[in-house]
Amino acid sequence: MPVCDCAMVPIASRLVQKKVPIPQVITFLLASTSLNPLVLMSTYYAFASVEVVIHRLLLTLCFTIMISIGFALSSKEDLVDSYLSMFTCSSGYIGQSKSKVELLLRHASMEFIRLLKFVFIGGFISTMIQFYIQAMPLPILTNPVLVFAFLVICAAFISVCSTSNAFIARSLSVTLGYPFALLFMVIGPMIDIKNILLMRLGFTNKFIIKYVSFIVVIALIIFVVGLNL
Amino acid sequence: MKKHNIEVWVQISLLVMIAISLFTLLTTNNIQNYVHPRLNVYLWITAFVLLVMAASLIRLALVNKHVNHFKLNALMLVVFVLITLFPTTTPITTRVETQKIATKTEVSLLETYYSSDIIKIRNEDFLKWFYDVNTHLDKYLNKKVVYNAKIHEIRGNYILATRNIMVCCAADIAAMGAEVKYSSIGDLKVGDWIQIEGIITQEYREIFKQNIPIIRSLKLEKIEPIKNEIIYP
Repeated sequence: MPVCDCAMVPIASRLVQKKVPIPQVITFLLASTSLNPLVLMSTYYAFASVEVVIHRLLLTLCFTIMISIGFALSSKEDLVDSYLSMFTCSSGYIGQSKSKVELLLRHASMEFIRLLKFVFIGGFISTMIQFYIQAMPLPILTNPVLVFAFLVICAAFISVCSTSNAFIARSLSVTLGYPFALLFMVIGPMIDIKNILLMRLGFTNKFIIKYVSFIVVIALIIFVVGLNL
Repeated sequence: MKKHNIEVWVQISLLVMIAISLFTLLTTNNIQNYVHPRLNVYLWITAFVLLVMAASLIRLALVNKHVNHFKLNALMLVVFVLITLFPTTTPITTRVETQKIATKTEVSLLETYYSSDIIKIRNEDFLKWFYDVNTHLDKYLNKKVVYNAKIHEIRGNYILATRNIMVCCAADIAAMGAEVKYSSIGDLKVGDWIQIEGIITQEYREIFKQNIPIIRSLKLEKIEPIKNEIIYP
């Protein structure tokens, strides 16, 4: 399904509403950020290297499998919005009409507006953070702790689709190194601020905290291992 | 408005306003500051679909509703009105890229560069040349080059003269260009557009761990800003 990751979050929350088990939904959500022809092609286009494409693919699979197993083994209580999960449709009252096309358009309008506020708020936060990151002198980031903190901030707030984040990663790789750029490409679409906000459509805060914590901890382990290689 | 559903009217206004924003950006060509022109056709379609979606809600808006929740939608509506009235013309984000990245190259154009002693780079060919001079620097060494760029940074005896490249949308804009070593800069300053005439040389840069192209300037001349500032590969 070659669409960008922000389109996957609403699909994932709807899958949960339709009672698909959470580990399976997580697998779908995380794997879709890289197992997608557009993402792979754009990565190749940006780096001109099959190796980078394979690294991105393998690292995404690594995250996907570990986090899905983490969710499968941990408690599944209070992860899904119990009120929303009572309904198979949550776009609101769309009225009555003899025309199915009109109902379809009304439904699409309600869904669009419902998602728009999350994209809108996420976009605003991301713009503000990016504005200040731009002014930040990158060469001072020699301390690994600061570099990792910067990585998480970049991943969360440089709110770019997985289909085009390889081009930004290419720029970052020049200043901050390839491991940084690779992790940025992989975890960026996973913890993107607007995707996290979109998750509130169907998941609880407990789920979101657990999800982000898993990703950050695994990223930290990989980052530390990468530094020692 | 007693018998109307204000919440739905705000939603309709929001959809129409987003469509108007898109139409305004597309007709004034300001859209090129935000997204790659290849996406224009989809944005036209999007704007029309938004209008159709808004129209589909009109009958629903004529049904009264006692409790209305529209504050956030109203706020978004105000923001879209402001965006339409006061569009930005300068992309906010630019990242600097002085190193090579990959692209398809046009063999015939590059063969012309290889066989010439003086290389005049057209604005639309800047990116192809920039990629290639980083990839095949040996084929360009000691040749004279002439091209236009914007001064991104001045540091010591070097100017970073760049062009803005957009692959997909404004978020991925990167300023790309070679360092230009100068002896005299006159009154040139950051943000000025210049025509660079110089000799292609090379210098080692620790950050890239390799030699990169450096243009030793023969002449730097201030020019009028280029109309289409962004290059779209």
